[in-house]
Amino acid sequence: MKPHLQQPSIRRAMLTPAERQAMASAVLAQTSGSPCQRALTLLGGQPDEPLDDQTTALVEGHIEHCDECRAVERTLTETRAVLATLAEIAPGDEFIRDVVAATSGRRHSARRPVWAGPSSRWAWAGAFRGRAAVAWERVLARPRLSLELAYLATVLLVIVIGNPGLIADALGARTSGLVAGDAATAMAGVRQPGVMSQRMRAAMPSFVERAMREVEGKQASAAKGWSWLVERTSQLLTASWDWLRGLFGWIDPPRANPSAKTEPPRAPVRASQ
Amino acid sequence: MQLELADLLARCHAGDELAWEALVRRFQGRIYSIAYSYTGNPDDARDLAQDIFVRLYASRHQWAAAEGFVPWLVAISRNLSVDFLRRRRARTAATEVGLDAAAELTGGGLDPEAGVTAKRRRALVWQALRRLTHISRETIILRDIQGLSLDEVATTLRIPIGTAKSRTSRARIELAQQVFALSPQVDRPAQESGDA
Repeated sequence: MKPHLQQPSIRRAMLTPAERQAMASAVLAQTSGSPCQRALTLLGGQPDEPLDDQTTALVEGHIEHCDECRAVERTLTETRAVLATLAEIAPGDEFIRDVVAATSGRRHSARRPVWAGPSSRWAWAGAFRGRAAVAWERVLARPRLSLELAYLATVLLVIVIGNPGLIADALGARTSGLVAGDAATAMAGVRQPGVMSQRMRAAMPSFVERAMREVEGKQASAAKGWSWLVERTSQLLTASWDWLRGLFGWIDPPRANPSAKTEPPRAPVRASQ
Repeated sequence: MQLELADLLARCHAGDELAWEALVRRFQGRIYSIAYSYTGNPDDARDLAQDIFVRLYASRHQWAAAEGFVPWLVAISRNLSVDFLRRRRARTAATEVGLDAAAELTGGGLDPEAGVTAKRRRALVWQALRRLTHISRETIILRDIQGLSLDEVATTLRIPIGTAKSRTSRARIELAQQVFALSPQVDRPAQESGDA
């Protein structure tokens, strides 16, 4: 030891390594903050961003005095070596057999579709079928397929329900046939008779007559039910209206007297010539 | 003797069944590793890896050329793995893998002489990977495990290369901190040497 350091006052002034570290940390805390984050960022960037010599020396100097960063740096080095060994994992002996079995069926079907026939002129159909199958698989694999289908169904429902005329038009012929009691109209509304049905009608008149009677009976019951429904609804409406009128003391507006209805003036009768 | 990748791909294009089997043998470990990295479950990884191969076979006329085949394969496997997780609604709820389960996996292909310590370290890293956020985990899988370049990582994840760089740096530190936190005291040489 040098002579001047042997003096007690100077020995007391010397700092131990722990004290020096504590003092450096206190200074950094009051000035630039801890450099650990900067050191870790530079360490994590290796080997993508090589450091120059000065930066390397600075990082090494920090690591030498910082236990936490030294531990992370050592773990980082060990982990990097382990990560390189994780690139491949053996999936088991049966894996290849399963994959080949899963793809062999596709291979045969892709070579020559069963329905395409032996001629090469149907090759385009096979290619189209293959592409359609791939496209369909992609559609099924879409992560939001159920949501998209629900949206589509909602749009269709809104279109149909928002245009009641569509339903009315579709059912109009059938309904009018039932109400009118015209069997021919009803059958025409349900289905236009084709050649086969005409032949059947000619060949089996009794069957057709029986069927017509059944249809007429159903129409009659339907018409009866409909008239009952209308009558009952009308009664309910009238009763509820009377009850409301009695409750609030309403007075009916004056109604036009049907007996006082004036007939349109008639043209003068010409004298016959 | 192993065929060159370009020859193998050409034979697969021509419909050679043996070439297809050889291709599956060559890349099964890599694809299974990617599938396991994303699912964290050996059974799911096996199903997913098989599905990836089946889709690969179905689109064999659209494969990338030999020089870019491996990054393309990794990117395709990654996309299908993400789709798989979306379907399972499990992307954010990663399965916690126990050390024993992860240690059962044969990593590194293939080295039957691998020691118990190396096996345990691999299991530790797998477990630490599962604790990362999915962005960090994905970055580690693509860059440090599968060895894609930063450009390829950025292309696969559809992010700028600067973002890929910063994410990789951050993910490595996160992983090291997780490994450090998971590793038992006896596996901490850093502290021992620091105390000495």
